[in-house]
Amino acid sequence: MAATQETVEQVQNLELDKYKYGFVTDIETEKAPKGLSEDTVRFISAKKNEPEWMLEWRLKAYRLWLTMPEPKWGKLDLPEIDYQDSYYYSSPKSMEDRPQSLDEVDPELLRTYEKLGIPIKEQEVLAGVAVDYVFDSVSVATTFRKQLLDVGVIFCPISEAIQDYPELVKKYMGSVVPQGDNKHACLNSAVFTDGSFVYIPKGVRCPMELSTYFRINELNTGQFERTLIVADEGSYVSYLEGCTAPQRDENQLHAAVVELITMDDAEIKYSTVQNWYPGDENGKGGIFNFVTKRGICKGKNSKISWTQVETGSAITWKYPSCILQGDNSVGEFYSVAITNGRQQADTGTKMIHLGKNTTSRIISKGISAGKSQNTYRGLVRVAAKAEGARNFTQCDSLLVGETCGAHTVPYIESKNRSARLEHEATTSKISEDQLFYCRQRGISEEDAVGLVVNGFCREVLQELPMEFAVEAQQLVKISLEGSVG
Amino acid sequence: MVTLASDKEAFIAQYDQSKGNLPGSDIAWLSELRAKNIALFEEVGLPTAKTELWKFTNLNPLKKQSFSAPSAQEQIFANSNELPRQLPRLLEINASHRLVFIDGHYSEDLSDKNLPAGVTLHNLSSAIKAGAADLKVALSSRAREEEQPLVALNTALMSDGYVLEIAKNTSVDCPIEILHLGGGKAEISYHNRNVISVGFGSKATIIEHVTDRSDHVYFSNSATEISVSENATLHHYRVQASNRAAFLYSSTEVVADKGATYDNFLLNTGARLSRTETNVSLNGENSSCHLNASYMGTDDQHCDITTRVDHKTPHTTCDEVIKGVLGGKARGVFQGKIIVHEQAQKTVGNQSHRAMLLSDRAEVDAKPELEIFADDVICSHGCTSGQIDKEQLFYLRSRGLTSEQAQALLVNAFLADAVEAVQNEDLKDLLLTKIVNWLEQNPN
Repeated sequence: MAATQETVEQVQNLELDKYKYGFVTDIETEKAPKGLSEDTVRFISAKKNEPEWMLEWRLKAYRLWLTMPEPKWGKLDLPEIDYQDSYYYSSPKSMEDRPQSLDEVDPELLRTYEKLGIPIKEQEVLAGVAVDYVFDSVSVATTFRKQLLDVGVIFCPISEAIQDYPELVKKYMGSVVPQGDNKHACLNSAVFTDGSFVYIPKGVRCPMELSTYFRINELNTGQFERTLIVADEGSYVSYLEGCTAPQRDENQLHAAVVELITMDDAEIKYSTVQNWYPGDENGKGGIFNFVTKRGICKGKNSKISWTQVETGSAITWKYPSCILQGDNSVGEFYSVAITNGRQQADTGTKMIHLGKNTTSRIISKGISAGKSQNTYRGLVRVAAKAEGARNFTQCDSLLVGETCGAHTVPYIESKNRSARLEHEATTSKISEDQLFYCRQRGISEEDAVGLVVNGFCREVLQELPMEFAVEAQQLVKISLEGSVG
Repeated sequence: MVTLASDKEAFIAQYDQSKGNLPGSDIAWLSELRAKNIALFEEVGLPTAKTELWKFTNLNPLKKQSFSAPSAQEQIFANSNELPRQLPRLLEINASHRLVFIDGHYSEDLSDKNLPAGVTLHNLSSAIKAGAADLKVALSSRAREEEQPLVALNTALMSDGYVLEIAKNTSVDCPIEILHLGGGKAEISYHNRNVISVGFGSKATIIEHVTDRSDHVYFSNSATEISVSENATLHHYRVQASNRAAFLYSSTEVVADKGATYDNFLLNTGARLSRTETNVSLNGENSSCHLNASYMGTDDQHCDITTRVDHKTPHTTCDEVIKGVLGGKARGVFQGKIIVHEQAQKTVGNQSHRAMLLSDRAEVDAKPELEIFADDVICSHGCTSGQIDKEQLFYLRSRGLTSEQAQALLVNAFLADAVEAVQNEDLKDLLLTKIVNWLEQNPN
C-alpha cells in the first residue's frame, strides 16, 4: 500500500475509531422503572426470584445508603450524581427464558461480542477460557460450566448462586466489603443485579482461566455487578474481567463490588482490563466507575494478586485492596492507569498487614496525557502484631503533554518495629532521548510514544495472563492516540 | 477566673477579655484583622483528626488542658531571680548574637544590644507602633487561612514576637540566635508572631532554640512569615527541645524570590506534642529550598513534621531529607507535599523520609505527596520504615562493641545524615552532640 494511502487511513481511524467499542446493540430489553426507591430494590429482587433473606439484606443496605455521605476524598472533579435519573435493572428481553446452550443465545448478542473481539465460540474452542458474560444487568451465558463442575469448581452468575448455593453466599457475601463500607458499595449491595460467583474447593487448581465480560448497553443504565470468589484450602484460580460500554452523551454509573477470600495455602489471581467509554475529548459522557474491590487472605500462606489495566471511564475511583490476616500471606497489586482527554482517575490500593511475616508488593504505573488527571492513592498499614511484615511500593508516573496532572498520595503507617516498609515514587515525562532514538529509526512519533509507554508498563503487563497481555498492549497504544503532536 | 478546658471557647473568651490590651488595639486594620481571624477560628475550631491535614495528629491531649494568657511582661521580669543564672545558649558567646524571649515576651535586657550592621530588629508591638508598612502585608499574607485555624488563632491573639529585617546586599556572618524560653508558669499559652525579611542579595543565618526551665505544661503557638528576596540566602535552623509536657505548634510560611535560597533544618527532641509546619513558595525562577530534619521521640511523645513546597515558576529546586528515630510509645508523623504548578517546568523536587522504630510500641505514619501539573519535571519521593539492620549490629558486635554502643553508633549515623547539609560547622557539631546525648539519656 502506498505510504500516503496508509497515512490517510490512519488519520481516518483516529477520527472515527477513537473508541472502537462504541456501538449499541439493538436488542429488546426489559427495564425496571427509572429511579431508586425501596420498590426498585423489591422489583430487582422479585425479578431474580430471590429468597426472603436476600431481599432483607438488600433493603437493609438501601436504608443504610440513604444515610451515608458521598465519599469526597478523591482528587476528582465530580458532578452531583442524580441517582433518580438512572435505570437500575435492564435485562435483554429474550432472557426471560434463559438459553439452555450457546446455540440459543440471541445471535445479535453474539455478534456484539464478536465486535468486541471475544467471540464466545471461538474462545470456547481456542482459548479454553470459561467466560461469564454480563450484559447490562443480566448474566447472559456461562461457558464451560459443566467441565468446571466436574472438578468441583462452581462458576456461575451470582443470581443463580443465591438460588443454588445459598449457604455459601450467605456465609461470604458482605464479609469482606460490608454493606456500610462506603456509599457506592452500599448502593451496590442494595441493587446489584448480577455478577459472578466462584468457589474453588480444597486442593483444586482451577483447570482454566475464568473470565467475565461486562458491557453496559442500555441508555441511562447503571451497572451494579457483584463478584464473589472463594478459594478454599490449597486451591488456585486465575480470574479476568473485561469491561466496555457504548458511546453515550450522558454519564453512566457503574458501581461494582468484588470480594475475594483465600483460605490456607490458596491463591487468587484477579486481573482486570477496564475499557469503559471514557467520554469524548471535551469530557462529555463517559462512565463513572466506582468500584470497591477487596480481598482477604484469611488462611496461612495464602496469596491474593490484583492486576489492573485501567484505560477507560470518565472517572475511575477504585482501590483493590488486600487484608493480610493469615501468617505468611502475600498481597500484590500491579496497576497501569492511563488517562487521556479529560479523564480522571483516582486509583491505588490498600495493604493491611495483620498477620506475621506478611508481605506485599505494589507496582503502580500512571500515565497521564491530554487534559487528564491521574492520581495514585494508596495505604500500607502495619498493625502492632504483624511481626516481620514487609512491603515494597513503587509508583511511577509518566506525563505526556503539559496540560495533564499526575499525583501521588501514599499513606504509610507502621506500628511494628520489625516491619520493613519501602516506598518510592517518581514522576517525569517521556525521555526526549528515547523518543529521538525511535524517530531516528523511522518509527512515527505516535508509535514511538506507544513503544516507550509499553516499556514503562512492562512490569505490570507481564503479570497478565498471556492471552490478555497482547490485548492490553494494544489497548495501551489505542488509549494514547491523539495525545502527541 | 474560671478555667475552661481549652476547647475553642476558652481561646475565644481569652480574645474577648484581652482584645483591648493587645498590641495595636488602636490601629484599625489590625483590629479588623484580629476580628476576622477570631471569627474564622470560631467557625473552623481546633483541628480534629477528621481534617485530612490533621489525620495523624490528635489534639485531644491539648484540649484536656486549660490555658490562660501569661502574666504581663513586667511581672515576669520583676521576678527575674526565677530565671536560671545562665540562660541556655547553643553557640559560644562571641559566635552569635542572641535575642531572648521569656514565656513569649521579648526581653531587651537579656538580649544582645549590638546587632551587626544592616540588621534591624523590633519586637512586634514596637514594630506595630512604628507603623511599618510591610507589616500589614506580612501579617495578612496567609493564602490558606481556613486550613490553618491555629494560625488564625495566632493572628487574633498575637502579643509579641520579632520583626527582623536584613538590608539589601548585607552578608551577616555571625549567626543570630533566638532563644524561646518557656515553662515560667504552668498552664499558660502564648501566641508569638515573627516576621523575617532578607533583602536583595543578602545572606544570614538564624538559629532558633526552643526550650524551657521547668516541667510545666504550656502551649506555644507560633507563626513566622519569611520573605527571601532576589538572590538572597537564609539559613534557618531550629532546635526544639522542650519538656515532655509542653505543646508546640509552629507554622512558618516562606516566600522565595528569583534566585533565592531558603535552607532549613529542624532538630526535634522535645515536647509532648509538637507540630512543625513549613510551607515554602518558590515564586521566582531558580529559587530553591532545603527542608531537612532529624527527629527523635520516646515515652508518649508525638512529633509531627508537615511540609509543603509550591513550585510556581520554572527552574526551581527543592530537597528534603527527614530522618526519625522513635522509641517508647512515641509516634512520629511526616506529611510532605510537593506541588508543581502548571507553569513550573524544569522543576526538580526530591524528598526522602526514613524512620527507625526502636521499640515495639512506637509508631510512624507518613504521607509523602506529589501533586504535579507540569510535564517537564523530575520529582521523586522515598519513604521507609524499619528497625536497625541486624547485620550491621552483628558487624559491630563482632568487633567488640556492646549492644548499646553498637545501637547508639548506628542510630547516630542514621540521624546524622540529615544534619550533613547544615552549613555552620559549630552548629553542626553541636547538633551531632545533641543527638549523641539524646541517645545516652534515652537508651531504648
